[in-house]
Amino acid sequence: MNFSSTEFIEKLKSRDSLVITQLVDQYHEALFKGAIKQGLASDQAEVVVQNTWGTFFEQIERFEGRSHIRTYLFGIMYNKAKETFRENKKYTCDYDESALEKIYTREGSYESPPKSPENWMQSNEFFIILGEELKKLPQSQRVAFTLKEIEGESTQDICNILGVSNTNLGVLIYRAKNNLRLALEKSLNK
Amino acid sequence: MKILRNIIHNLMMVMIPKSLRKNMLTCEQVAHIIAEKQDIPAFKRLKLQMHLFICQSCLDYRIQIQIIDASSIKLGKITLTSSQKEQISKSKSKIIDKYSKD
Repeated sequence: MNFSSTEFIEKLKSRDSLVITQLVDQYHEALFKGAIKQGLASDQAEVVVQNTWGTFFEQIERFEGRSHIRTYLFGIMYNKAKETFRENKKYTCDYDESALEKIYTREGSYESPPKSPENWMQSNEFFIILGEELKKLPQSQRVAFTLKEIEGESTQDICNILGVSNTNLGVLIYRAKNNLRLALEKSLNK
Repeated sequence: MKILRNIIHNLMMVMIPKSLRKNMLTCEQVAHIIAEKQDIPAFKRLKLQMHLFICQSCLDYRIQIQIIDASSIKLGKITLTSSQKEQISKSKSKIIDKYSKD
C-alpha cells in the first residue's frame, strides 16, 4: 500500500493494526540504524526510536500528509536524538578547533597547505580513523555532516531538523569537513 | 606538473597587479565552495577553474574533500549485531501492540 495515500493515513489514524504493522515493519529498523549513525549508543538509540513512535502516534491526528511519512518520522527521530545529545554530557566533549583558525593567512591563502592525500586510500586504517574522528566532532557539526553526506537528506530538510539557516548549515558542513581532513592529515601524512 | 604549477602560481602572484588579484578567488573562498558544494553562477565557476589550474594546494584540498565525501557513504552502511537485531524485533512487536486499537 502507498504510505502517503489518504486511505493509509486514515487507517493509521483509526489505529488499524494491519496498517500499523506495515508501517512499523517498514521503518523501525531504518529509524534504529539512523539513530546509531547519529552517534547514539545502542540502548539510547532504542529509547529514541520508541519515543519517536510515541510522538508519531500522539501527533498522527494532526498529520496532514504535507510531507512524506518517512520524512515526518525521521524528523521526529532526529529531534529526539538532538535532545538526547543535549541531555547527555557523554556526547558533549570539548573539541580543539584552534588548528582550523590557523589554516589561512589574512589574505585567505594557505598558511599550512593541504598535504597530498595520495596515500590515504592505501591505508588500512583510513576508514577506522575517519569513523573515529567523525564521532569526536562537535555535536552540531557531526549531525550536519551525517545528515548531508551519509544520509543524503536535502538541505532544506536538514535546516528544518537542526533549526539553522542555509548559511549556518554551510558553515557547519565546512567546519566538519575541515576538522576531518586536518585530523586525517595528522594521522596519515606523517 | 606540480612543480610547473608552483612556478606559474608564483609568477602570477608577482605579475598580476594587486587590483586584479583582488578579483580572484582566495584559497579560503575556494575551500568553502568545495566543501559546501555551493551552487555558483557560471562566471564564478570559471574563476574557480582558473584558481584550481594554478593552485596545487586547492587541488590537494579538493581531492581530500572528495575522498571524505565518497568514504562517508561507505561509513553509513552499518550491519547490526545479532543482539541488536533481537532487540529490534522485540521492540517492534511491543510498539505494534501498544498503538494498535485491537
